[in-house]
Amino acid sequence: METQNNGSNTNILEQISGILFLYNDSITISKIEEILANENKIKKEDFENIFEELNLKLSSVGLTLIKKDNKDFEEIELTIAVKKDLSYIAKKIKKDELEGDLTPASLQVLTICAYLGHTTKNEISFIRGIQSAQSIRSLSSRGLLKKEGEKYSLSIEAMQELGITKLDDLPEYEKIKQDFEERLKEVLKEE
Amino acid sequence: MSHAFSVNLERFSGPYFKLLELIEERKLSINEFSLSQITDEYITYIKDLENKGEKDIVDISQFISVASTLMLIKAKSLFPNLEYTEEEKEAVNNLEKKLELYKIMLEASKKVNKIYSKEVLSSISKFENNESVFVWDNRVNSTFLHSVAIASLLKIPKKEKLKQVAVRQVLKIEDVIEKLLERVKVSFSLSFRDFSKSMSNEVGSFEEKKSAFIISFLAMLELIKNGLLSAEQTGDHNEINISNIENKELETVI
Repeated sequence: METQNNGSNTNILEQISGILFLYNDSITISKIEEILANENKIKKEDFENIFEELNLKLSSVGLTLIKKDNKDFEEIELTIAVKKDLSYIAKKIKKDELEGDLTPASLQVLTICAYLGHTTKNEISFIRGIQSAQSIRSLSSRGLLKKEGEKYSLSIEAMQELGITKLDDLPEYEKIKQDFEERLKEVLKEE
Repeated sequence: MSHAFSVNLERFSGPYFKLLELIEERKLSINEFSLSQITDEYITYIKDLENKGEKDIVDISQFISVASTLMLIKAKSLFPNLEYTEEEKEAVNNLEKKLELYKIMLEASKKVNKIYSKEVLSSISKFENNESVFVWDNRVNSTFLHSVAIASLLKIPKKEKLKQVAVRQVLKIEDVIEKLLERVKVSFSLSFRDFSKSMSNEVGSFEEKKSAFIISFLAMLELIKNGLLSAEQTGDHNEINISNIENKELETVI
């Protein structure tokens, strides 16, 4: 087994892409490290480079990486998927299992989770002015929301469904997120 | 049955959605003026909800609490002399801000809808055949199966108890209108102050009395609009006399 890294990322790139290919699901950095055991610890400062390099290589064969950022480096999630340009192929293959559109209520809940990031059931209901437990449950059962503790955020599956490889790819992400957060803070202050 | 229930709940978008819809139909922006313009229609909408029995499905108190702020704004627009208390000022301000917040979310959700399920980034897992297979191995005996069965039973999601009524419904608008009509039928002509006083005697706190007063006022406006009542004010700050228009003799008196 080659443990020598001789200055290039080749070894870790192959290992990560191998894991992503086999894992068939989104996977956190900590899980990747667990699989690699102590063989290859991923350094935080190296990660961006590794990510970019792997993404570039995958891109040349019709694949892409999807990354869901997290404040906690170890909790960043990754998955491997077919590029956007090839989505028509996926559509042909899974013609029969196309899921229906979202209801307006579910769409609103998904939007709140997308732009606010980690948000609670109460916060969602507060913004919508109506109980939202039902929509949250339905989105969760479709695998579109991820629940950590009391907080909900988009799942990697939801990002795939939206065709985005990172949250920044959401429409007007920075602007809407900022606007949203500021106004929410203002309203909450007065409650 | 439970299925129909969930579908109905999903269909509802709540009070802010309705408000924003009414404001945007008139191509207005969110402010006190536009809110005063849509009060009547919003009240009609709530009444429809009540009549259709939808209140059993959706928590109507959320709609009513917004309605009481709207009525206040409407009353202020009709009586510029009416001064908001600090609390009322905050309620009005808060409603505007929450509507702005809701609007941002709604606009964003339209953008999200445009990209949802369009150019999907598919993974292998999506094509996987997820059919579960039961493989018999040497751990399997009746005790084991029993423990698995118990464990799966515990995993069944429990029915979540929805939060009970956030705001208590003080009075139903219908009730107020009905009482107003009755009173007018009995007595010849009646001053609004007497009427609203008799209404506010029926409920408890100061806050409740105040909202009862406002509901009475709006109920009266509603009846005048529908031509069931006639109201007359002989001068600024004088009492408002109400009478039944069906009675022709009364009409001449007023």
